[in-house]
Amino acid sequence: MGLVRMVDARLYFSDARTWRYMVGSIEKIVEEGVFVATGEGLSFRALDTSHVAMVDLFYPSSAFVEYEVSGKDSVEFGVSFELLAKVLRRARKDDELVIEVDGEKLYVKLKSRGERVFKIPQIMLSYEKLPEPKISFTVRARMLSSTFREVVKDLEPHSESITFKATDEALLAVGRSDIATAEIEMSVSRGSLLDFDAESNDKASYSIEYFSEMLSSAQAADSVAIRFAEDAPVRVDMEYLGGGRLTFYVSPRLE
Amino acid sequence: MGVERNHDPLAEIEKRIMSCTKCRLHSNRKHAVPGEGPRNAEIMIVGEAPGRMEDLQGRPFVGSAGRILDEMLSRAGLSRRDVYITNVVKCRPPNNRDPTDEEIMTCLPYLVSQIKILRPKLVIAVGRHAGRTLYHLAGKRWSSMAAARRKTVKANISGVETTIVVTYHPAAALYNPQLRKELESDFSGFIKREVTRVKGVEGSRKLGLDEWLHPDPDGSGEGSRG
Repeated sequence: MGLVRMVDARLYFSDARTWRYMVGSIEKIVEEGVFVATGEGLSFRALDTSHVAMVDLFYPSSAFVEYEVSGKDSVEFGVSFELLAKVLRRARKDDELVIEVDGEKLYVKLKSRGERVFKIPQIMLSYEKLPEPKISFTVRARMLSSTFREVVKDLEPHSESITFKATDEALLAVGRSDIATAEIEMSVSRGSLLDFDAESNDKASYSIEYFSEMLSSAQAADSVAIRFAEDAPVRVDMEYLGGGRLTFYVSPRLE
Repeated sequence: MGVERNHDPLAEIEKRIMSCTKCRLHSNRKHAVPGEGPRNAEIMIVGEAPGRMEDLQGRPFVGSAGRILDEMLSRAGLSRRDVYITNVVKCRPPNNRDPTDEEIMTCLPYLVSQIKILRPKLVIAVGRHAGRTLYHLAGKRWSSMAAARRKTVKANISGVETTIVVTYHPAAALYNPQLRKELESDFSGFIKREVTRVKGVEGSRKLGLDEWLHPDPDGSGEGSRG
């Protein structure tokens, strides 16, 4: 029997590609940050340097095959997302992911028929929990992640911004440039939305760049929930199997 | 069909004003004075009509009144680079007489077009005619300068949501030291507050989410906007 190495935290997830795609989006928005593993799950929250966008991740411990946080209430580990993304880009179909936090070291393991172990440094960052943005959302829509991706891809060649407008029954996504306008109407009755609720016919615009950067994470999501209010930030939730959620807040462009 | 790039609708209006012959004021002018300022100005200054120096140069507020305006703008934390300056009437009335209602009404579509293009968040009307005209455009009742001063009026002018503030015309301060003090107090007081508010909105674009980030004891996130 071999020695069992005690680590601060061991997180074993069945599909490494989900993390590859999530981190693929996160690295475009924030360079580094601190993950917090508690008994409830793994979380991460950070603002981009311009404070225009926030990334907020929560993955419940129940969604992991194995989830161990030893000794303490929580284990914090700082990562460079550029470095983590480089490792996770090697994740292939059928790869499982194991993250081990051991003192100042971080092991990322991709397991399938073999096991590839990447040892990367932790980044020493002071951790200060950011508050969640307080926004009174008036419009809520849920759609399949494929719908979300199509909408962003339809608009991004034509526009620097994405404007959401709510009517009583539909959500409009509009992009506009000097030469072209693209408008996409989504509704439950047409089958393009799973749920829709609009308390008022609000409208708000956001930089489309951030939505383009969300596309990677949408690739692994089951569904995407969008919430916004008149000239307020948008909240975009990527909803994953097992209750995982990667949320992006983007502040509005006032046009 | 070609695509026109760098389209500047404000320049088009300015060009139309410079060749306008819709009222008799055009016959005595040296230059029409359409207005000037950055195309993305969020604050608009509206005066009454060009004076002699403005007529000579074709630019708004370049005479002695212009110097006072510059000083007042600075009291409000502004400079000419921040504002678009124009007048209700774009040509000089002879002998600096007041513009007639007919002249104002004939010229008004130009001001409306400028507001629609610029979409200012704040319009500072200087002088009685400017205040009265902007109140008229906003569908508000005008009674007197005394009643309008130090009030901020939320207005919708041809679909543009804006705020109107009214004060004396800087030219009035040239001859009346008491009015100059009043003008200074207006620009350092309620006008500056409105300017700060508008600039605050502008600032929030840069600050992004900070405006919505407040400690949230219940953690729900969907609280009221602070």
